[in-house]
Amino acid sequence: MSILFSLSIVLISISIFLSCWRLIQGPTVFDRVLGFDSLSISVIAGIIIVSVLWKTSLYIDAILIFSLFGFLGSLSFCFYLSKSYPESNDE
Amino acid sequence: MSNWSELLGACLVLLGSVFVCLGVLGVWRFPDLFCRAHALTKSMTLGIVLNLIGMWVYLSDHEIGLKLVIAIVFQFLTIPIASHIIDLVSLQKNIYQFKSDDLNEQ
Repeated sequence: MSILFSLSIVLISISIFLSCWRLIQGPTVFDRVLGFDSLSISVIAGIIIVSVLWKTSLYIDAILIFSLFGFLGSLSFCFYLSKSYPESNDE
Repeated sequence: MSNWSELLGACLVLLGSVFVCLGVLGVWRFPDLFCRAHALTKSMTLGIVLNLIGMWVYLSDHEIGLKLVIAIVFQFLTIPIASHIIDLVSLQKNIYQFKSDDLNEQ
C-alpha cells in the first residue's frame, strides 16, 4: 500500500518541478500562464495525496480554494494580456 | 472488506498521478503553446478527477461526498475554460505557431 503512495508522491514531485521549469523558462508570457495553471493543478494533486496519506478529509476545502484561485489567476492574467500585449506580426 | 477499498483507492490515486505527470511532461516537452495547452487540458482533467475519485473511495466518508462532487464538477468546468481562454488570447495576438517545416530547418 505504502509503495503506491511513495510512487504517487515521486510522480507529483516530478510534475511540480517540470511545471516550475516551464514557468521560469517559457518563451512568451502565455507559456508562463500555462505553466502557472499546470503548477496549480499539480499542487492540488499533491494536497489530495497528502490528505489520503493522513486519512483526513479536512483538506477538501483547501482543494476547492486552490482550484478557484488558480482559475481566477489565469483568467485575470488573460484578461489583462488581451488589453496590453503587443501584437507581433512576424511571419 | 475495508482493506480492498483502500487498495482500490490507492490504485486510483496512483493512476491519477500518472496522468497528471504525463500531462506536465507534455507541457514541458511540446514545441508550441497550442500543443502544450492540448496536453494540459485532456490529460490533467482526467488525472485530477481520478485522484478525487480515489480519495473518495479510500476515505469512504459520508460527509465529504457533496464537497467532492462539487470539486469534481469544478475541475471539469475550470481547467478546459482556462486553457481555452489562454489559447483564444494567444491566437488573437498572433504568437508563434509550430509548423512541420521548422523541423527541417534545424
